[in-house]
Amino acid sequence: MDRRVVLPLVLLVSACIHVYQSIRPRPLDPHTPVTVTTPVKAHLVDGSTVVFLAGVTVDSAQVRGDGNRYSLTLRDSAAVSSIPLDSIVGMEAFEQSVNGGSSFVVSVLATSGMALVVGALAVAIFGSCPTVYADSAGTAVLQAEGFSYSIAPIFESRDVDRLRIVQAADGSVRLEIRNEALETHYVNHLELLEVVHGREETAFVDELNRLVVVADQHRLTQAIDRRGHDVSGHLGAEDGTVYHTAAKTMEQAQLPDLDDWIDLTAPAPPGADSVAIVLRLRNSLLNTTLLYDVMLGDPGARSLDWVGKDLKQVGPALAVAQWYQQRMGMNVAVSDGPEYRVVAHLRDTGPIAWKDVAIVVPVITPGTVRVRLSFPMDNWRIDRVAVADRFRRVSPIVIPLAEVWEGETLNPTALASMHDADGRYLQTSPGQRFTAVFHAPSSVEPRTFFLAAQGYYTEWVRASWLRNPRADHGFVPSDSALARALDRWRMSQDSLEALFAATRIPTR
Amino acid sequence: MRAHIAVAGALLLAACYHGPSIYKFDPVQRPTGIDADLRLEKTRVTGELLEVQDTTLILLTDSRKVVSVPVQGIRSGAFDRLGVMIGEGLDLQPALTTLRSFSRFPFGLTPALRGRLLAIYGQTEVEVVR
Repeated sequence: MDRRVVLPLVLLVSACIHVYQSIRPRPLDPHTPVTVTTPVKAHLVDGSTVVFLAGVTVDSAQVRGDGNRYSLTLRDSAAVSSIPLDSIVGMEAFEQSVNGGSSFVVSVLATSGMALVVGALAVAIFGSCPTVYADSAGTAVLQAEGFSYSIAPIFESRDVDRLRIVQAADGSVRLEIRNEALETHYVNHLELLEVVHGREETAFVDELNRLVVVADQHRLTQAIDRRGHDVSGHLGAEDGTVYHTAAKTMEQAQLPDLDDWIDLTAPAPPGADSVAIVLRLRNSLLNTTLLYDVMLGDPGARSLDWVGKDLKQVGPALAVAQWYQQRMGMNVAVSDGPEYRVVAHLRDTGPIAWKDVAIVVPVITPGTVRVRLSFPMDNWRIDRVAVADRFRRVSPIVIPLAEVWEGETLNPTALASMHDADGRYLQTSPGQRFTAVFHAPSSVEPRTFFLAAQGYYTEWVRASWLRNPRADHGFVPSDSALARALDRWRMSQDSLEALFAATRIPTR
Repeated sequence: MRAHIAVAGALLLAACYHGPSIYKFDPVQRPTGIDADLRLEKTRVTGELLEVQDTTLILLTDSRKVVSVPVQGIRSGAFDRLGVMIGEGLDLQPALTTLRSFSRFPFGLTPALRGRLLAIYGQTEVEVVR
């Protein structure tokens, strides 16, 4: 290429990248504040607005900078040099887009000021995705939670969840999608999947969101945990008596030994080369502790940049995603002589709704199936494990989203946003909800519905996280981080579970 | 060589700072929300964008009145430096997301603040304009 073209291009590219990176904060010690060098607006609880044209410095208690504070009417203004975090509803930092488009906004902070709307938001920990409810005799019954832990655009994912619903009398399937957390949800696509099956069969989703129909389910012969105890009593039925990692196992957690496991044994039918392991499970709040306390809380104000900027870049996001994928979730391995061979990996499904899955595993030893479920200690609550002797993979009937209602109002724009997996998203804020309606064809045969939901969400950074930074750098994916989360989860489990349930944000 | 640098500089400026600059854009530089010009079927509303709700825009009109405009009724919505963002063939949801950021109260108005604001302009409730 002609140098006369190359040089301008090189300068152009490097200049644009420089614009983007120029406000990234320097590495700082734990109590050194974070600096934003572009204009910032702070919206205060009393309705006034403070404009910091030259940016701000945010520490654990104050926002500092040369600003002008304007009253609610904008008639009066006064110079300010600092404002307490507690007085702020939210702040916006404005950056110039690098792609030639208009400037864009990053919402960087939500503080206790929002408690005006809902109490105790500053400590709200309920969350990790949109929740899905269906009406059952006038009561909204939780069915699923969508795209759990997709905490940035780059982590956008599709989740398929089994629903325990029947069609309404008018032939429609109505699902209420709620944002009950301090998160902004970006819903790209919703569709209903229908699987028709025999009366003795049950339909499930597998670890890769494929659908599988199973039959001839039976209990395990044995389920032995890491300590050598038989825990099959916890796993025999869907009864709320769940398996969780024993406290004594948790006490012994230390790097690099952070895993728990259960060895399952069950008979396999003669001649079978594979069977399906059926699980009903959900995550514990270990994951929530990891996300809220370690990933976002420890770095303090640096989380603003981590959420708002780092996770939007491929490199840092990929590092987190790869680590998370490999380290969290559940490995399913089959006994291959003295060794266990991993044959499937189940991603974390979220701590709110139970998830029913079936995972097909090979039968290595004729007549017997021996499987090890391994996972970070106490990462799961497992209600039921069974073995299905027969299974078949199926293709579902796809039922597109037909209507979206906000209260009593039909919203065609929201429908268009979620009808296809494309560049359009429905954005919801804490407390919002909508009803998704699907028109399923009637059928006399037994069938099971699944909701496929695609999207991502961004976490609102809490003021309480900013006040007590414990790390001198942003989150670094490592086993040390998991060990810290495990330690804190072990110490605060009871109070955290109560707080989690209590801080669900009411929808309007 | 000087010519090359000049070309590079020109390209740099053109590419990186195309569109409203954050250093000149009123909603960034001032406490006000973005200026809106909404054309409805039978009327036109111009003023400052105060708040973006799920299905309505709240404006402080040029005649100092707080009004609510249902988005469905807007035939064309133009905004300072951003141009027409609401209208036939335009995707509404991303537009509302962008506009919320440039409204005066992007985090919403509490009932108490809304009441104070209305009182200041001699109103008891928000007037709906269709």
